[in-house]
Amino acid sequence: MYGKVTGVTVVGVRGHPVTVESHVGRGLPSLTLTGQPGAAVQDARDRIRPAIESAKLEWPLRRVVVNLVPGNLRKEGPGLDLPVAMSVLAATRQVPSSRLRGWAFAGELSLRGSLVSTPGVLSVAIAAARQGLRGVVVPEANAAEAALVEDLEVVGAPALAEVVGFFRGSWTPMPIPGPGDDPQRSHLVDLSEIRGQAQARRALEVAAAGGHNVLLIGSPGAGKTMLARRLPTILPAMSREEALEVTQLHSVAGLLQGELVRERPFRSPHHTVSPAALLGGGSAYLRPGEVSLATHGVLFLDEFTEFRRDAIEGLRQPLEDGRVVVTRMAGTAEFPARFTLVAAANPCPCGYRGDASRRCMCRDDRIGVYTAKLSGPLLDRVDIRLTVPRLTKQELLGQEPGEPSAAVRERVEEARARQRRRYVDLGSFCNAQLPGPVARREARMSASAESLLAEAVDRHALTGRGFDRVLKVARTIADLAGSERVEPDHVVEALAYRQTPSALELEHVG
Amino acid sequence: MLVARNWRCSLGELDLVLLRRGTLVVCEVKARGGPAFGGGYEAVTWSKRRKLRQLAEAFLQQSGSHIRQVRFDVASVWLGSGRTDVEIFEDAF
Repeated sequence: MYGKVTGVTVVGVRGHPVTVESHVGRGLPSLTLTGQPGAAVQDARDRIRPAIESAKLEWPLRRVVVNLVPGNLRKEGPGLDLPVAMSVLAATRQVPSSRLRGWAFAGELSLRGSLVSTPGVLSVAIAAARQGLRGVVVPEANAAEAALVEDLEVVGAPALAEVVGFFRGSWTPMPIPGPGDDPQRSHLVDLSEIRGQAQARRALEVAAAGGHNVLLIGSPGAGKTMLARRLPTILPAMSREEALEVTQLHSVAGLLQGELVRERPFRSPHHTVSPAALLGGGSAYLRPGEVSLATHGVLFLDEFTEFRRDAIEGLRQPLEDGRVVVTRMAGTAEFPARFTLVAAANPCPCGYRGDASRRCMCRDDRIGVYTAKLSGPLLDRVDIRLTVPRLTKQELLGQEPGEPSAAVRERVEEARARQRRRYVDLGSFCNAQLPGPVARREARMSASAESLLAEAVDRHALTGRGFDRVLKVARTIADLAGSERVEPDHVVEALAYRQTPSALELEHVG
Repeated sequence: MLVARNWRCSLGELDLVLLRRGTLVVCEVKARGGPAFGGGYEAVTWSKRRKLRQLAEAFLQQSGSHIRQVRFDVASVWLGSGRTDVEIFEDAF
């Protein structure tokens, strides 16, 4: 007896259709899985019989062989439990095979036969739609996320018994409430909570407007983390495509709660993070790393100098290409990783160099070693470098609340729209993403701004890269000001974002 | 056609040996008094299967016949009070 259904295995973020075929034949009762099942799929062997029996269905007391096609692809994840079970039920004529055609199945089964929330269901649904299937059957908990895919029927079932009931015509699924059309974003934090720090607030606004990466340097307690955490709140609202991409990544990582992710993500991995956790990986099941989970949002690396060197070096590819390619024995997966980097560090090992109220206790040679860590090829990709001073008592107590995030975000969105219009032929980039030569061509500087920048090249000994960075930041400032051309004021402000307390030591990297 | 019952040699014992359309059928009979320890068929472990194969080989050698095909069946017997149920798994392994 033979039966087959369609399942989907997720490699990276991409779903690949898998035909799950079953043969029930002569022999002692057993279940064999063939076709490169991974560890989690192999686990299904022992889960499926109890699940089927709990659903008051019958497990055939015969030899069962389940084959996963194509055989050259390694199948991972528990999402294949349901298709394997359905395939066996189809082979034993417990569900009508003809009705299963056109449906894809995904979901992990518990021993009681209930369908457990499963990672990667959005990728499954996308793959099913691409395959031209009619619909997907998924756990009830994942129905909302599958429903994000257009032109696809979604059946969210609480348990295996209901899935079988659906195909026998004895059970109808609950309609899935459409995604609430709620553009109102509810961030838990707001820029208005930051007292003082006018320069840092402004720098964040520029960073948000041009998509620039930021390095914040300041003593402990200066508010570096507080500032970074509020950057997502002033970034423009995500487009539907961006939101879907973020949702898909979070779904694959098993972090998704409910439906579409509307808020830009903010990820702040601890400085002991391993390269695999930061960049993506894992031995059997390739998981997206922090860089991918921060896609379209902010990756905040506090205590930047304390991160492992190999982890930091690995950031180069995502910063350059907006994606990471993870290669393991289990295969190769590509994950999107386009994020705004915010790095934070103390000005010296003890943290108080340049502080107004406490003395730095560090030896000069240690400061040298420390500041060397703040240069290097990676920080070449950071356009805005900024010192965040600690607030004095007066500043802490006597400040009016600052401008709220919503007001800043409005200006940022305008500046971004300006860039999109200008770069429409380049494929909608923001200033920070422009390659150097393009940035020079597109900058549109006034003559006086140009001569000012030329002067700065001499005075600050700007390198080629340093020059491009100032240029791009100045362009963003002009966009924020609504100015067609880059004026001297904009260049002056942009030059200010190169300063750090260790500016002298940093000078050699431009 | 029954060929042998409880055939013994130094290696062990075959419960039933039958001949059916040119195929030698070696049947292992396993009985259980109740479901507490699973069905009889579940007691046919890998080592038991290996033993049965060796025994079948010895049987063929001794009988000197030219049978080409051998099949292994398992008969799982439930011993209930008053009635017995037999479940036969043909070509079990």
